[in-house]
Amino acid sequence: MKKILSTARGHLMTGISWSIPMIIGAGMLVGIPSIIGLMFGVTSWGEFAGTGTIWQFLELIRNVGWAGIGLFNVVLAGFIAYSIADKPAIGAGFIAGYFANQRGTGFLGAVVLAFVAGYAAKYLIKKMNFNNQYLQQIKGVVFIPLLTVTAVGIVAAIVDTPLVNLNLGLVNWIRMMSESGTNSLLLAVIIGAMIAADLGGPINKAAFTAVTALIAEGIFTPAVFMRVAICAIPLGYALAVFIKKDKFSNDLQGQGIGAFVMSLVGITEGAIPFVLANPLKLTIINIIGGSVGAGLAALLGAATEIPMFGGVYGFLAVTQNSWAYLVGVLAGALIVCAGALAFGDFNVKKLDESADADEIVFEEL
Amino acid sequence: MNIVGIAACPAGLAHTPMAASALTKAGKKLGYNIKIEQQGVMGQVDKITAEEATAADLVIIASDQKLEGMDRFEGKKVYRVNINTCISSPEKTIEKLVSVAQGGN
Repeated sequence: MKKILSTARGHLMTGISWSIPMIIGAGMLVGIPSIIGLMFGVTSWGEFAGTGTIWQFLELIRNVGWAGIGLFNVVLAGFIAYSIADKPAIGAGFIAGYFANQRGTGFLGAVVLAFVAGYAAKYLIKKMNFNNQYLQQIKGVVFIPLLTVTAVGIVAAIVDTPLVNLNLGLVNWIRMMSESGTNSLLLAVIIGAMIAADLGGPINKAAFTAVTALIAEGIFTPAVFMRVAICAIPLGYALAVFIKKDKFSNDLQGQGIGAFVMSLVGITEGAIPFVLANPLKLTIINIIGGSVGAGLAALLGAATEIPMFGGVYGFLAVTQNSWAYLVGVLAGALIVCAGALAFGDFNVKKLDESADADEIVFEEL
Repeated sequence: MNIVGIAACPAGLAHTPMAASALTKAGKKLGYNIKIEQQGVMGQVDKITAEEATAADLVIIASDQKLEGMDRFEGKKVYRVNINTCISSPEKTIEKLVSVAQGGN
């Protein structure tokens, strides 16, 4: 069972890994013209159609970005299926994701149907064998594509009502949470803690994917909370190096600038080299810093109406109380910095001491 | 002994190169001929060629994801390890896998 879950997680991560570059590029392509528009007080873009102005031009660019955001579930589902059963599954996976978009089952529908597409293809590749050479060739071009999509279709029809309701319920619930004071605080704390928990690992990416799926649903504020935590943690270690250089080994001193840049552009992974020094203690500190920073931004009313990506400079895309975003980042960073200086042990060369030979688990392929 | 491998993580920008450089450094220190391919956000970096794959005695996969070009390692001793283990304990990881590949435990 554990093995099945970890394999499934691997497939999900593969899908996420293929969609990240697309969603970041597309999100920023919506965000940048939106920020330019905000500077000139432009918020409703629809009215510029056919005017031949620069705003019409920017609106078209924004729409290219929106096209990419709309593809999130499609690419995710396609590459989950691809991860499970290669080329024979990818088409059914794309169809699954597109259908989930259209049907309003969103991210949940896309993931469920992608697994159906992948495992159906995998099963057919393995079990469907003909003695006749011609049938065997037709299998690849006709039988497997047909039956894989059929499997997606049948499951989609069966789970349609519950999934539509579940997804709608979840989306509405989170929309409500992100809009009301105390609830948005709770949401921000959870997202911040998840981002901090493993810095780019599965928990972090689960939060990232959920927030991205919400952007695809038109709910933008959770991304603000997430970005606070993402920026705060590497910034905390950069500050710690800046304040007390002697506490860090030569290697880590050099990583201080790197962590600073990672914070500016919004990559939590910049903190990893530091966290490796005392993984357990520092993870707890990161979780506190990430969740307090994100929570503070929520409490102070940071919110946005446009897709938000990016690092510290992302405050430009925070349409309400953008200062609160920066306060959140700084507060989170100061907590991480103080915690790291108080409890971290960064000067010892600790190569290869963290695991016993017995603890190294491997799997023979 | 020739060791090759692939490192890959979901975002493909931090764990991937860290694991690749940790394994490469540790492998060289232990006296092996080692090359680790990265399958990160930039696609395949430091790609293992067909010749290098054929010459390999041991293949380390530092990832739980789907990887490109696994057919290169057909018939080889291929071991999948958690990418974090490779970053934090690269030497012990290599030592252990070498001993397993050579028939110890």
